[in-house]
Amino acid sequence: MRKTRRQIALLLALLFSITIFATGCVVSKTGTDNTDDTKTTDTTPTSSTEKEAPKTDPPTKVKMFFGDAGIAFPNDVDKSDNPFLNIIEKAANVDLEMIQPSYGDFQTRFNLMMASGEIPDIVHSWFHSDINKYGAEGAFADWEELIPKSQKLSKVYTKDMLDMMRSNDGNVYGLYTLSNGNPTGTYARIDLIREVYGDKSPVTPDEWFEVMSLVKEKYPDSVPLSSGGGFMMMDMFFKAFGAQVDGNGVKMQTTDDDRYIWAFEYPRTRDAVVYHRKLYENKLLDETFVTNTGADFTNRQMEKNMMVWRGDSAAVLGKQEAFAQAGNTNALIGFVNNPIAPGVEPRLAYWGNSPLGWHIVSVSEASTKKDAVLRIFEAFLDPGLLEQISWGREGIEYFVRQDGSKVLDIEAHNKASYRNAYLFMKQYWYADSMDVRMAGSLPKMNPKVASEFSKVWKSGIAIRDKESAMVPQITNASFVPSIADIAPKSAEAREQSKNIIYRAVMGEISMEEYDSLVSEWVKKYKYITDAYTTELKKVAKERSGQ
Amino acid sequence: MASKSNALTKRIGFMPNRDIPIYLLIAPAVLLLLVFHYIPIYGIIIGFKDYSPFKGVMASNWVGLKHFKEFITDPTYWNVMKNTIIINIYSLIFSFPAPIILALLLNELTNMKFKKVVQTISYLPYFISWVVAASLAISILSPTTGIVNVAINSIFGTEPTYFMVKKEYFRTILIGTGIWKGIGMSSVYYLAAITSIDPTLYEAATIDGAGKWRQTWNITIPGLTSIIIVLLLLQIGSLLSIGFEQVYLLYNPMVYEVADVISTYTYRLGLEQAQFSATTAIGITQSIVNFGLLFAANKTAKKIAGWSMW
Repeated sequence: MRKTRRQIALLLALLFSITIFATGCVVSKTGTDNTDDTKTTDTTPTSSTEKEAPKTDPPTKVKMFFGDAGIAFPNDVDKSDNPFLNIIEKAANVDLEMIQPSYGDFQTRFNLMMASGEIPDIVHSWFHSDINKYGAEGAFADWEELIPKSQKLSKVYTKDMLDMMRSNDGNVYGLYTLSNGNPTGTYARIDLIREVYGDKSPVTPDEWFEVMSLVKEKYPDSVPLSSGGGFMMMDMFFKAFGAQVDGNGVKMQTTDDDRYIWAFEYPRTRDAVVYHRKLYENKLLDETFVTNTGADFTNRQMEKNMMVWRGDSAAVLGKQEAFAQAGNTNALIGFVNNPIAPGVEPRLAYWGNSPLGWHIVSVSEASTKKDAVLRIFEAFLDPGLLEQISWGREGIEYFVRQDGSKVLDIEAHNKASYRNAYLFMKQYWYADSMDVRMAGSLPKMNPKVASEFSKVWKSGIAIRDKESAMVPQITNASFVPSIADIAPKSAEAREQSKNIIYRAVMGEISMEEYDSLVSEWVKKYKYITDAYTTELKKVAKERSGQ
Repeated sequence: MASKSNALTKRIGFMPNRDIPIYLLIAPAVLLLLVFHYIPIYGIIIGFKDYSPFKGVMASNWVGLKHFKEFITDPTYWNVMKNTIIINIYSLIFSFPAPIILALLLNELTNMKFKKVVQTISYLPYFISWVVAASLAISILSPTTGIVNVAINSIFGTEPTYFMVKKEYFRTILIGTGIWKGIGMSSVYYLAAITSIDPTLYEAATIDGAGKWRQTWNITIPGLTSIIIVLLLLQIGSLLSIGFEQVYLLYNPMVYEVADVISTYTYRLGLEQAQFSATTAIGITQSIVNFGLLFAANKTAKKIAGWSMW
């Protein structure tokens, strides 16, 4: 018995030793193996039609790191094999293996993947500086060499667009998604405004202050202005003064004479800080805004009469739907005029409509499947395929009426709403996909609310689009590349700036102390804006043809 | 003399039948250390290079002490170093003795049922993740709905305090939550050591007329000296290290000045800004300093208490 126990112990010890050794020495397989590729060495420019793989070829296996932008995937849906991804796979004759971390984990997983040096064939992200930095180190292919190989992509992405994507070494490592034509705007609780302010519409920060005070007076438990942490989602009252400050701290902004300055250097940022200080003193700004989480933000929206925030039309619709689901038939959401203080240039106060989205896709330089990658993006940008994904499957997510119009099966449509994640190359909520979303949302609302909401929706979109059109789509700054060496310092500077603004807003420091801290901060980080100004001057010179 | 030496050689000499199984039993632990702790040491070379994951360790450019110079001249680094040391000293003063005190108190309890309830309650927080513990702390200390502010307000009628954004409270909150979470589990080591103290010592002391205080002071505490010294030395040896999670989840931009520590700084630098070489350089420095501290503390312990780890 004793001998047997001893033998078992020794066997286990031996097994553990082998396991440890094997674990320590294992080399993970990267996604860039070429075992399945059938068309990898062709570098001759060809048309899309020529590139389309004959259906007899086996599908090329391609790995893709993919962000779902917070669109929930049900647990029973296979992220690499589902009916909607299969539409793309079939069109591109590929077999996609999706590496799809949850939204909350996405940045960490991206950072870890890049640190490992092992990247899949395609990387989808929204981290421009990182992509350019790693691209310059040889991680990613130059899209300028890839695009000409696809006729379809060449038609979509013009030279001007590629120029806007350039890294500061001149290459294009991240291909931007297309704009959805659905810019950000300020939206508000129209019902509360009507209740306390009549049919007037607040525009200036002072008018908004009055409206928020009236709501607070009527409903003392209200939190009229809140955030998802810091100034996350409540930058409209900084922009109202022309100050570019958001959830990540102060931003760089351009002057009329083509210079970059920190928002701290822009004179009216101080006014914006004083305004927020007044909001905080009067308990109109959430007392816990610094440590708020997304859950606190939702709580203020749903329970505490939060009045105003910002987002695109999908956000407006989503919020109205959330109120309907919560059984609140009073709340009415819609776009309103962006707040703007007298004398502030609209280009600084309103959100514009860039021709490009903000997500980017990159191709591993080591990938031997670049042709398959091109076919994938042709499919992700194909209007017909996107319509199929957007509406879903006939007979399941939608039905066709006798007059040819489509009608959604609301339950099936909701269950398969994860399919919207595959609309990322058009930044999700473009006009057609919004129509589908609207068709799915209105039936969930009380008919009276739905009718009122439809009216407010139309007038609100008109206001938002009118104001958005006042912001130039393309400026010299659109062509200034991010400077990879400086980007980390820029992130640090922005992080440090939060401390100064929060303390001033919360009244922890006087405005004189604020001025002094700002001046020290600007002195420390001015070299960053100076470096970008040099780039901006170069761009201005090139574009003016000098 | 010669025969004595031969006997010793025979006793300690290598005996395949006896020794191979023993070596085999120790092999997994040795391999574990070798494969995951010693072989990767070659990676410190990236602290002396401009490392890029895509060029690899060998092909990255050699830059010597560039990264060391950079962080040494960066005022932010010295601030995080100062914060790390201060928080660790506070931890030595307040967190280190707390489980010893709890273990001594628990040892004096005669009602076993009550003792078990107290022990279980004090262990429980250890099994809660820092994510949950931090959000609990934030909720409890909230100026609008937090129970602490509600209590203070109802007793003193004062305005609520937003504890989480006040620099003066941050370290207290950090140490307090650390004690709350870890006290139960840490006291287990001391309780285990207490049970190994010979009960006849207490009986003799009782006969000699020693009260509870005297017994604690003269028997229990000396009986715990070795474990206290080992744990103290280990804590001193990690004076430049602080668990990342707790600080990261509790801090915010309002308290960076007092809250930013080496682990959060290197997280931002390494993972968020991809400055792998700089963080490795900081790691090397941290390890060297920690090693020096451990060595010095061990020597001091030997001199003062006559007991050391080696």
